[in-house]
Amino acid sequence: MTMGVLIIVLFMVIPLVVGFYAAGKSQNTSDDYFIQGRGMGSVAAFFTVAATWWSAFAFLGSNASFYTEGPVYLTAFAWNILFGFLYFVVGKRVWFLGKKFNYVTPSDLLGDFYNSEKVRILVGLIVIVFTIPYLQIQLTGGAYLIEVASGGVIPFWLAALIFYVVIITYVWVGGIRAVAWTDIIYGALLFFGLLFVGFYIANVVGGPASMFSQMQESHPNHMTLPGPEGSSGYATWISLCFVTAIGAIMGPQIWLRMYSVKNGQLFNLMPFLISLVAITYIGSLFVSWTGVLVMPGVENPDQILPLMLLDYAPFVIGAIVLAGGASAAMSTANSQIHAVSTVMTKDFYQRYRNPEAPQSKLIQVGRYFLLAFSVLAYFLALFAPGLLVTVGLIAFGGTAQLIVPVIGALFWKRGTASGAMAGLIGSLVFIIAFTFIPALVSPLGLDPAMWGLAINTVLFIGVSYATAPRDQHVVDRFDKALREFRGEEGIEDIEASEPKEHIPS
Amino acid sequence: MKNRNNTRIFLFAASIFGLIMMESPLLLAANRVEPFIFGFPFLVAWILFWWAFCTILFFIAHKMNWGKPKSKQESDAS
Repeated sequence: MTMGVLIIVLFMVIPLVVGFYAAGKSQNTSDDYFIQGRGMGSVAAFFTVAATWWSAFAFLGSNASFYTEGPVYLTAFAWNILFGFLYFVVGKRVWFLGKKFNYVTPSDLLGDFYNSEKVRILVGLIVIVFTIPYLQIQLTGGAYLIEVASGGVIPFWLAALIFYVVIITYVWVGGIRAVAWTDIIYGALLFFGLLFVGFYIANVVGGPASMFSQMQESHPNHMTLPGPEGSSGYATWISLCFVTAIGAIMGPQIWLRMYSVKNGQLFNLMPFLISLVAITYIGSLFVSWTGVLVMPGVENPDQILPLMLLDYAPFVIGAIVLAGGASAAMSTANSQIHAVSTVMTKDFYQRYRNPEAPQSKLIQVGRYFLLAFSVLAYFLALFAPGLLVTVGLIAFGGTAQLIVPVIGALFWKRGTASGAMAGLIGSLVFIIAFTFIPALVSPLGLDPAMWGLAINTVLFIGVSYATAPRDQHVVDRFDKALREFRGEEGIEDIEASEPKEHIPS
Repeated sequence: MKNRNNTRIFLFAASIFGLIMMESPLLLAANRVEPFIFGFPFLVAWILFWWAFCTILFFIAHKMNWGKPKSKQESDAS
């Protein structure tokens, strides 16, 4: 058990060291603290996106889902592909506009494009409100893993507290650079850790092939949709894929990572890298289905991975992997805490309270928000538990709605602020009603967020057409910028289409 | 310009095709245990196959720069 505690201490100390080292590199400007002055290298950018994306939701939630619901979580292979593809199609344009017009937050882009303070505020609120439940998942998941890895020596409340103090410290001193650097360690550990234990644990029943054939004999229902309980069929499959991929890519933590990137080439490579790392889910599948055979009836399915490891793997390996799981949670939590405090500082404090604030003041305010959100999430982790995948889906469902005005901004000139507002508000009202009012059942068994996306799109297009077009100057400014983007991408020949106009650089 | 655009359209269409094979109702046709493929149940093998298809496609797309020439700005930055 002391070994377990030792491993955990190590996992706490390493990020702190890295964080302080990163802080030594910082330039003391707010741009550097929030988006690393748009100079993040490709390796750090890949790992921080992958590790941020890959949270406790993936690490614990995947195992819980395979264990109780059958194969529905296999849709994760597709959501990684969708996420990677969107990162290229949407992310690269967001990056380009961010660089050109100096954006730091999601509201900066959408507020500027729709030329509306209301849109700006609404977007800021959405990213904050819907990130907090997702943040809570990370802390609950991470703290739980620390508790188990220490053999119960560190209780849940203390684990969560330690977790927080570590994150706050290194984000406080190092900003996004510290987050990205620690994510390199977390990302690598997660990838190899989960894959390794998958094969290791499957060997308990004679290897993966033997495990599958035993499953076929004893639990054939567990191997096809809609799973053993009959509740996770095609509707869940498609909802999970779209809501998770879109919700994640629209989360503020990923958004900030689009702005931070130095070299646009990274966006071309990202679909491949993000798809590749999906193979890790096979590790979860092996662990969980072996669990179905050798450890049926676990009360809290979120615990299946830790329990399997403690029973069937050497303690040191188990503890390392569990600490790795805690890392998965941390690497998402750190980015989220950093992202929401960035949004609060830039979108609310700087814009409405103190537009003249000097750089040092902005960083200071960012740090206070960091502390405030951490305390809030800590109490949520202690007092508001819930199955990780379920809570996650609500959070993703909310941020996913931003995709409609974003696609509107990137590909459609006619979208208006009223259209964006109507779409967002309409879909959110629908999602909240269908999530929290038990009498309302989402049609066709689809997740309410899927209907939210449909309602959002219809309202956005309909109301946009019914209202006056946006200010012509803004339309032209974006049109020119996106034309320039297409020119650089080689999609459109700007020389030929616009011979006389000067394209500002 | 035209050839480059065709490459790009092909790469996009192939990516979307891969996603359709995994996410459209076609999936229900693959929703079975047998036949086992390399020891994997059919549904798992189906997903792994299309996942590999998209992953390799994305790699090729990256190598082909998604059908566009490297821009000056990007070459300078790298």
